[in-house]
Amino acid sequence: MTNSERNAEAVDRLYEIANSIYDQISSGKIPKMVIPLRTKGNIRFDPKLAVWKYGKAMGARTAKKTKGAQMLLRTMFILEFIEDMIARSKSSTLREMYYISEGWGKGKFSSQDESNMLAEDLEIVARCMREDFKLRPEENGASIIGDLTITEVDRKGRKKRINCRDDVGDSGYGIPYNVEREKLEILETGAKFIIAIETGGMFDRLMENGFDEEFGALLVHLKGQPARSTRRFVKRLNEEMKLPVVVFTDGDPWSFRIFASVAYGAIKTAHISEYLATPTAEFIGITASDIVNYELPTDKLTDMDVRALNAELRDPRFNDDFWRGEIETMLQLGKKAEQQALAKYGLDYVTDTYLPEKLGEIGMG
Amino acid sequence: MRTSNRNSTLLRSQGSPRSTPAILFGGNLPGDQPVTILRFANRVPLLYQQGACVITKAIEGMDWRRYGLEQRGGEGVPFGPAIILVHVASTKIPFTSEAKEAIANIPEMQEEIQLALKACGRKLKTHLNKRETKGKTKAKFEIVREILPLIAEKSAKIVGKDVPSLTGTITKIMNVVWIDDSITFEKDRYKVKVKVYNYTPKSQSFNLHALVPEGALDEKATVPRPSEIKEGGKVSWELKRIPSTGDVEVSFDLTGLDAESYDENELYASGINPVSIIGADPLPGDWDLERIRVEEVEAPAEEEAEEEEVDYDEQGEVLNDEQ
Repeated sequence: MTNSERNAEAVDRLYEIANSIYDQISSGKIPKMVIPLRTKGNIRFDPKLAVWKYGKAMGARTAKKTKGAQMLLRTMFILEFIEDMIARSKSSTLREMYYISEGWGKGKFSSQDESNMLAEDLEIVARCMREDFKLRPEENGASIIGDLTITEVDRKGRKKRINCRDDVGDSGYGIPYNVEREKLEILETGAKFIIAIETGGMFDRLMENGFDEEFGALLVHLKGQPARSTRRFVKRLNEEMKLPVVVFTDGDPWSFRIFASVAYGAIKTAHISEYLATPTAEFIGITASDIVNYELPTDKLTDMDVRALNAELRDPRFNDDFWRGEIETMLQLGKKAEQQALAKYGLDYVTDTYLPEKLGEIGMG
Repeated sequence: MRTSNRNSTLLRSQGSPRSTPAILFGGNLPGDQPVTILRFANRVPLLYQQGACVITKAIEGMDWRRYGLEQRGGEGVPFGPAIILVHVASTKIPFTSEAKEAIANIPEMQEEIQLALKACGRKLKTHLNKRETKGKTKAKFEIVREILPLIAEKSAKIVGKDVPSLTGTITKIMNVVWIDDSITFEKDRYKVKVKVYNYTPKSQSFNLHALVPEGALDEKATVPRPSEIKEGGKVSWELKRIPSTGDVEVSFDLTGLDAESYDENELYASGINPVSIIGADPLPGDWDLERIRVEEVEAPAEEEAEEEEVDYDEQGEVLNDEQ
């Protein structure tokens, strides 16, 4: 489908939403929207897609309560706003949309989280992507480095051929917010696998130590919890170039969630997990067992960390022997460790010893 | 006894002839502090040895949580924006010492004070409950007055049709008669406005009553004309056939009162099921209705059985995986 076809379809779907609200009011009902519950309890593993999607539990957003009524009003404002953007061939960032709501009176958002969530609600109900609504996220600066050649259509409409090792500086190739085919084509790669790294410090360490060339790796900087485009790009590389993916993060509860959103699908975006998640991605560390085995320097778990770990024990995505074991070990230790704690044994230890050992364990050494 | 804040509500128990408690609640009193206890014996304030006094013991020994105050474990001095005042009057007061600083802890005395305090507490709870109901209804009122019309207008604009009538939706959300009253003071007169909104699916007729300070009502400035004005400041209006989602306004002036002496309207309704009306109480029994005939109104139809539905916006789960 071309862009304008997708936009036209988005307009139709948005019209349906407004029409449903209109019909409910004109037939004297309390208007409501029914949306799949976006909770930990309502994600199910889809065996065909091998990712986690929303289950069948539905929730209602009704005008009976103040919050629900406000959200419905905001929905109407957003619908109008999106239609207007499509008509005028404009687009806006999610943050701009949040600020535009300043003029919406009672429909004003109280935080950007709220407006982002509503944009996602609309994706779910309209079965569209937010790009179809002309909404885009801020650039988040995630980057990739390694022997990979792509073409990107730049802002002037020219196709640019870029090798992500030779044509870029030390900060790597910046992953744009749109990584779909119309914008970005993957041409060729000499790499054997992708290593997705949580922190910038470790990304730089691997680059400085020449890990990408020595091991044939593409280094992807996740920058914390990865943005949609980063996950989508990794997924495309995995599918189109048949590159296995390993994820290398800190050893703490939040990093486990970073891995979960790369490999299993995030709860927030479970409606599009099949576009974003790479089910074959492997976690190589830092694991709780690494903290013990490598005698890593640690920090104490905070109360928030402990709560996060306990929540993960109830998260269906972590419900297997490996994760239960890791989470329980970490709770027992009461400790967490950063990736860069490996520097205890010297700057080269991570690339000379730790990663080769860990990759060997999963048969990729 | 007076306090600096005029919003406090004074609730007086008829209790025993020997002990008279009062609870002042609200206003600008801090909500996160223990309540202030004021003790009196035969009109003399007791300033010292609060902990040794039977009044304190009586207060500490009661479970105030059921009366709407916070209390850890259901004993001790309760927390909340309140002042508890207890006066003990007797020909013989059993003080703990000659200094007359505290009253001795005699079980009968404690029991007596607690009985009176409980009566007082019940009134406090009634007051708080009423306030809560009014608050909830007020939230719905904002939905139907401000948010819903905008939703209807916007959706109509998007689909390119006329703005739909809101009657059905409004009455389904509210399903009550809502009374919103206000008091303003200007040029030595209190102007009272009582707005009656019928948010039920049917048209409604009932009687509205107000109890005002005797002799203060300015009859000429009263709109519409009352159907009855009686001794003791009892004013009644017959409100006939307010259509569904319609409203009427009753206004009157009070003169000859000091500034800040009148801060709450006493409004009552008769001839309507009390559960269908928010903002006016059922008419008390001592208000004898001479000319006004009270029609018993059948109870409103049971609310439609609501489907078990999860509220999407109130799951309270944080979806962010980020720290």
